[in-house]
Amino acid sequence: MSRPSQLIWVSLSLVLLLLGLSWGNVLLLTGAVFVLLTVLLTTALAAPSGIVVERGLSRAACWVGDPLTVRRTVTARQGIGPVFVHDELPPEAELVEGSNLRVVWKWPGRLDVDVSYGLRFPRRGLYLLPESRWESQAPFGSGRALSGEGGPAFEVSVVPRIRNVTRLNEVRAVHRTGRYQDDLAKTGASTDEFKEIRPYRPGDPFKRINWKASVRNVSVNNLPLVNELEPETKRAVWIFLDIADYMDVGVPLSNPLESTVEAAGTLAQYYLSKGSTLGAYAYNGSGGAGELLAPETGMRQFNRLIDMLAGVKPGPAEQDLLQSVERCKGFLYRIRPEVFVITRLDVHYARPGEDSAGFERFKAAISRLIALKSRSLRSGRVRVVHVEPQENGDASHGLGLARWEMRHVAAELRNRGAYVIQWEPAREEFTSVLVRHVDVYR
Amino acid sequence: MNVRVAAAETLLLAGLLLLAAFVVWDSGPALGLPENRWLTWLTGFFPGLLSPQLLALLALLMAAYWTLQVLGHGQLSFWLVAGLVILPHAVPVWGHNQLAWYELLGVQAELVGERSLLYDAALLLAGLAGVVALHRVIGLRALDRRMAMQGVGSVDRGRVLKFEALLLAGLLAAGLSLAVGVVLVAALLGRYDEILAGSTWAVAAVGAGAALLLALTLLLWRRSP
Repeated sequence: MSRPSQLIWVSLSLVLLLLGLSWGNVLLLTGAVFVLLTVLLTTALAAPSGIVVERGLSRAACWVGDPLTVRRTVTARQGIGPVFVHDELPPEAELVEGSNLRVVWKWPGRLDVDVSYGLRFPRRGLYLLPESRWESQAPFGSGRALSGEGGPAFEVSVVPRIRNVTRLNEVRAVHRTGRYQDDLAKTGASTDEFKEIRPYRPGDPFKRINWKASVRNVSVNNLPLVNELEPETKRAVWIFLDIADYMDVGVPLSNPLESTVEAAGTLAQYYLSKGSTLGAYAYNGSGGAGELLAPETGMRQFNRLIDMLAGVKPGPAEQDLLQSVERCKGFLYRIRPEVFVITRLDVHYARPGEDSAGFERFKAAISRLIALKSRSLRSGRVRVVHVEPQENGDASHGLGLARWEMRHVAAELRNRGAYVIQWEPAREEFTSVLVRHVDVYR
Repeated sequence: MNVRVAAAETLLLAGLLLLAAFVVWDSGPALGLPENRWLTWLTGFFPGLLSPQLLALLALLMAAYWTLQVLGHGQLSFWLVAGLVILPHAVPVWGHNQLAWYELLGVQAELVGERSLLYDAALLLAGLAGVVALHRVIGLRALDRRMAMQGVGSVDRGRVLKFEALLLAGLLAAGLSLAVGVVLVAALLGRYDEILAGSTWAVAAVGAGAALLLALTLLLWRRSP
């Protein structure tokens, strides 16, 4: 009974009481006693109070699509009634277990209950999980509800899922040919990646001497030991990522945009682990301007790339590849990289009657990239990775047309000298595609 | 809409309307009031209590109740039903008046002793308890709808409704126990002499108890947050 209706019940019992007293009627008085007692009991039952919500997160950072557990416990000390506990979630979050909104019932005595739940994020980004909100109500809806907040707020960093490239590194052909020896710089700067400890050779800088290791283990001829660092390679790789909103179609966990991010991460991991210099540029982002990652070597560069990829958001297709090449030309001419362009080719197809300027500019950009002539001895092609959108039943007809358009665009690009890789994320991992194309890279 | 709550509400409503019909049927001829047309017409419905006419009337009333509920006039339909349930008790309750001044109204009903106090009290308390329960079941339905709109899972909703229903049963049991105790005490005290003209110890004792409860209720209600 809510407060206004309680007033009605009190008024009703007052009428019964007055009539019973004035007429000397025991029945009316008994009725008044009954109604009054029910109102009295409902008023006396207070909403649960002394409520504490404690919360913990299994991890503060996770891969895209990985389940996270939010451990949540509710403690209430006094009162009777329902306690609502609600965690507001970002719209991107998906519940995989339990519920972020729970209602528990509190009887007299202390209540301790676990209301944990699991969720996952199908997109990259930094997400805020604000404090839990609770609300308690008295039984029968009487009395005022109590509310409050509890549990700390969390920031969850969701980073793109990068496939393990171990399989690719173990391709025997690559090791047998020792092709990377050709790419190593014989002179010049080293990376900051530690390789091994070896005896001092004339010409080694003194700052490389590892004094502690030398004292512990003096080598032959009493020469000190020096830290050998990974040499910088001549090989450089540049990745152009198309993150326009046409990439952000289909199911969040497996749409072309997320696949693009995954492919870029896998390529970066592969080449950086081989000592290559890597730079990247994501164009058509939400801010209008693209995201640039200046070329560097070493696995720290991989972390920088992951940070960049975690934050990219799709935007309107206002910046084309030619503009992106123009923006990055300073870096491109300096390092002469092998170039990967990750995009959807079907969107570049100019249908009859449509303006073909966009496609022409795309082809012009590919031609300029090919003209860079990579420093790498055995390769130099521009590779265009086409990310196939995931097929679903309703759109299969449209997808057939898109496939035809993609083939047309791919044929034109091949004529220009680019190497086109078709990737269907729904059917195979990007690592498998790379394994299949290893021979081509040699 | 929670089907179980709606079914409970419909059953309760049907029970209350049947009870009201029974009270009308039971109290009308028994009072021996001068025959009039409306009473004859009304009691004509209940020769065997569950006649087709009565069932049709019940169905009509329930349809009207649910129509008003669906149209958003839940409070109106509840108070209409409450009136339909409580008002028929007026006649038997009138028969237990113990003060004679009502004769000034020109109505003479020397019925004390003709009807059993316990029997009429049981009917009245059943009606009142049913009305309180119906009010709370409507509240439960609203609570369930609110929880469903917020996205609360069906398991949690079912548990809350079950516990609210349990608490309601406890509340009614406590209220009825005390009221039955009051009636028994009143019946016991009624056998003794009157203290004031027409008044009995029973009226004084129950009245004082009710006044005390009223004061307590108002005090608690005032102090509640």
